[in-house]
Amino acid sequence: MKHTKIRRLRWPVLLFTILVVSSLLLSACTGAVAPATTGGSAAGSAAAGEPVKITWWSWNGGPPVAGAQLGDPPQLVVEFNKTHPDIQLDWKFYQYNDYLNALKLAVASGEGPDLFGLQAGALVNEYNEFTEDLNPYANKDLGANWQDQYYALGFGGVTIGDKLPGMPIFNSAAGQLWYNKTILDKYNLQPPATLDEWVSVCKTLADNGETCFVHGAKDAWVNFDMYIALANELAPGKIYEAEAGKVPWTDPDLVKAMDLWGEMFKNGIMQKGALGISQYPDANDIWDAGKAAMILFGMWNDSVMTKTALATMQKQLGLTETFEFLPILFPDVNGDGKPGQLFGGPDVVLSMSSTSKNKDAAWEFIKWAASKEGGQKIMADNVSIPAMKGLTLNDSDISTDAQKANLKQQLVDLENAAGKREFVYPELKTALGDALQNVASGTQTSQQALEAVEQVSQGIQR
Amino acid sequence: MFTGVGQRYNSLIQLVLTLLALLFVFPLAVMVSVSLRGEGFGNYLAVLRHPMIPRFFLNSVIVTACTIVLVYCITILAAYAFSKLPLRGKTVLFSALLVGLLLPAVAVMVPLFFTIRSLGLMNNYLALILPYTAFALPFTTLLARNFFDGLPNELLDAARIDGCNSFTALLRVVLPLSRPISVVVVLWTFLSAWNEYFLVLLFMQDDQMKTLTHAPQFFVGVYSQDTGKVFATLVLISLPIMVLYLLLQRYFESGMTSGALK
Amino acid sequence: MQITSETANLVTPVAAPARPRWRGWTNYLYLVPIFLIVGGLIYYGIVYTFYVSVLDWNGMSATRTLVGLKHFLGIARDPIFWLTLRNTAIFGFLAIFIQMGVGLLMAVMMYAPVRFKALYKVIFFVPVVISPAVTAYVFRRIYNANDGELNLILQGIGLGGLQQSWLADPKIALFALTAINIWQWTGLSFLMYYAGLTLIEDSYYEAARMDGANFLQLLWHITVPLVRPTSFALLILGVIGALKTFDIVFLVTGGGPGRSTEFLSTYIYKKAIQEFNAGYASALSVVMLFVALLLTVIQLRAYRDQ
Repeated sequence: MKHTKIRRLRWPVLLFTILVVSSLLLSACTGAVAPATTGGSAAGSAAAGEPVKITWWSWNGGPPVAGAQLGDPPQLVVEFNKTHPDIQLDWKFYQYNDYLNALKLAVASGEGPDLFGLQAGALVNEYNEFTEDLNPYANKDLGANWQDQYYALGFGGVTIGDKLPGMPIFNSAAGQLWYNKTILDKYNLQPPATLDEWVSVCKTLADNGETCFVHGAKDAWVNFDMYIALANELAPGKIYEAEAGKVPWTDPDLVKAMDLWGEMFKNGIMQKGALGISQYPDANDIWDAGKAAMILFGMWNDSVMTKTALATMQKQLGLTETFEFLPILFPDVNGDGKPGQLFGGPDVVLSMSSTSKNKDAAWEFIKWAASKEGGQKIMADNVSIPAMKGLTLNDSDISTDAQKANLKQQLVDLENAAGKREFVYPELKTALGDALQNVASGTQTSQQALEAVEQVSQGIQR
Repeated sequence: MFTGVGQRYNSLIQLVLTLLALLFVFPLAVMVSVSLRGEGFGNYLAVLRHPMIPRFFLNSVIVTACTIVLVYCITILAAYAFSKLPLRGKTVLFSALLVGLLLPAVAVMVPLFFTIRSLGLMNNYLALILPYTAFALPFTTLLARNFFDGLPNELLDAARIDGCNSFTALLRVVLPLSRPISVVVVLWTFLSAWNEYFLVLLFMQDDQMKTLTHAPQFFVGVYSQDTGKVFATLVLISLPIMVLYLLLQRYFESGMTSGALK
Repeated sequence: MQITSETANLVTPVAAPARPRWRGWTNYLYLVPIFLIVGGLIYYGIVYTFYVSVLDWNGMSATRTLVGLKHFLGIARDPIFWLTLRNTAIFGFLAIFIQMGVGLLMAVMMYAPVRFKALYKVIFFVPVVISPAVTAYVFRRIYNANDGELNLILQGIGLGGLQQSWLADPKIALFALTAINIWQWTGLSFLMYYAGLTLIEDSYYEAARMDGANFLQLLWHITVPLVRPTSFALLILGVIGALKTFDIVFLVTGGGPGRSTEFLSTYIYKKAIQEFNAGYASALSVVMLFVALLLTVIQLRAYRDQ
């Protein structure tokens, strides 16, 4: 009967079925692979007439093209491609967390992009061996003392010995207290010039039902900014010495700075639940929508003073009024009558991959991006702080005269920057981040927290 | 269970369900309100009009569909064997399979990257289909095996007496009865493949090959993001699986074994 | 009708067949596809992790130094590691049992002749398909201490005293996260129990009710035992899921404030990606693997023994 025949054939049937099914599947699936599209990284020098293709990956590509969609290539890429028809620069945007993952794997497998962005400090250190030294290129094309034309702080946390692993294209400094003038004017308040004033301004605002200061304490980096600002006010430069291991983290000045930090969570400056929100997008959204009077930011935020940015915000957030935002230097904490200093460095440096097959083309882009008529002009035109000295920022789109004057002053303040913003040792960053959050939540005292940091610091091989 | 139960019980159950539903719907309501921020429904229009969306949708569909088919076939075969067939070392093998569930994504990232790269599958659909299958299989097999455990062995004995071999019995007896678990397997696989983000980031560097989960990137800038549109995108991404869920709902409704036993 | 041997088979799921059937090596062929794929992709990853766990390596560099068991010793002395285990355990325990309990109740209630069933089913399941990025943002907003919906509602209904800094308070944040997880995954338990309940015949309930059983007794003595396979699967998935929970923790609290919501998975990620310490992270992964294996084996044994 039919059944007995099948029994004898059972395993061939099974095998056959599996093979047929799997091959059908695979052919169906792989057959649907997209037609060949433009590849990722370049491969060798171009044939005559064809542009050399290079790729650039970063989480920050500089100012966007006006009116473009958020995901489109930034001005640096568009302008460079226009003026260099023999090179085609492909840009790839990654959000920062994704970027860390993607870049690591790409670089480790030797198939990374020709150009990639790095943050000063830890990132530059870790990726150093995969970057090309830019000094030989720069010395040849830009002249012997080319670094003098650039802000010194642009090289902080970047140069390693004699090697330049990345070129600063635009700088940013932190330590600015931004305030919403529209809100403060409503209550006849002035932005605080001292720590005590800060507390009292916050009290007035709180009494009137407004949020005084918004801070995304979930993010370590913005907590660092606040702590560095406090520490530099009490003892300029000491925090950098502690990072270098020359001074213990339990130094009285650093402890006092930590105390002040902790107090902010009790004296009304920090909003309730600050530890539960991120700076971007949460705190920034609250700030942009005019729901808080102050926030701690840096010069990268200058674009909110432009009419274009305000219009975009209004559309995206559905606002009914526009605000006047202005930054001031950090309030005076140590009572010497002078406000705090800015601290910062290169926002993102441009690095060339040491395994790139198109180093000359890649260098062309770096050179152009760092040049006065090329990338630096784009920075200045877009209210971004150029790495090069001596450019005037374009303030035609700035809303008010007060803001225009403020912008000019910022560049002056930048020359007096106290130091850098990025720490070099990842373990130290983690430990300090934990310490700041623990003190903020009251889980640890300043002394305990900094002792833990010091312990980690001592274990670092410097 | 509830046949012949009084009206009082029914009202109580209705109330409890309603309260639970309100609790569950609340965050969804917040989500929708955020997606309408700024331009309201204009956000959805902007997303749908974006030129890359159809391509992303197609990629997501292809990858997910292939993964589902592959996972389903392999799962049924393996679960059937684990549940109904005599195998030496079955428990050991099954435990070894479950180990596949235990590995955190970050740990498998590097070796997976090198495997896919050396197979030359970068920017290929298989770079996603094969890992998704591998990640889904341990759990779906566990589910299916447990379900098959619940099917009475008498059915298979009857089939054997009728002259079926193991494979025919699978096709003729087990499969028709396994609709409920098949639905779960399909939905679960759909879920894990459709919403996946990380592997697409690593293996699909070509924008043409990316899936829907990467669509929100187009509304994210360096210092700001159009949260309304990002949310609108994410809401839209979750719609297909909702549709699938609703369509498959009716496969639960059938007293399966009652006919076979009596 | 009495409970016969047929139905007894349902109540006590059988692992091995009562009588041998279809013997032969060909049975192993059924397992070839699964072990081919899982082996090639996942087992390789496991071996690789073991290898890296004995290295001092940043994950990219060409320089790697062999350091033996240094990382493992470090883990034993690492207070953060033990904290992550504790956090994961608390989270897992609460999340799993609440999800399973609520999920089962929901599934059972769906068999009653109530209205709007389709609507309820959708509402319960939708959270399962929402991407973590959305869930994280939404709950960061809801949990906001100042103007988050949760605190506003509490105030509105007169329970203002219960307002908290849900995510900013180290004592509460973990439970806030657990609630998010429960919201997101109960729908899956519901779905699976709903599928499992189709195998239970009404006749069991009828018989028991004729014997005078009430709702709770029906639930406890008939439903729960008969859905044991599903419960078991959910338990395994729940335990492993709790160990691997990453997205929600990373995106909502980032492991903070301080380390109060640090999970083993987020700790591994931070060590590997942010601290460039691939060796230590791999060692942690190995430990996690063993913990998961141990828990799984315990559960499998418990399942078999009954």
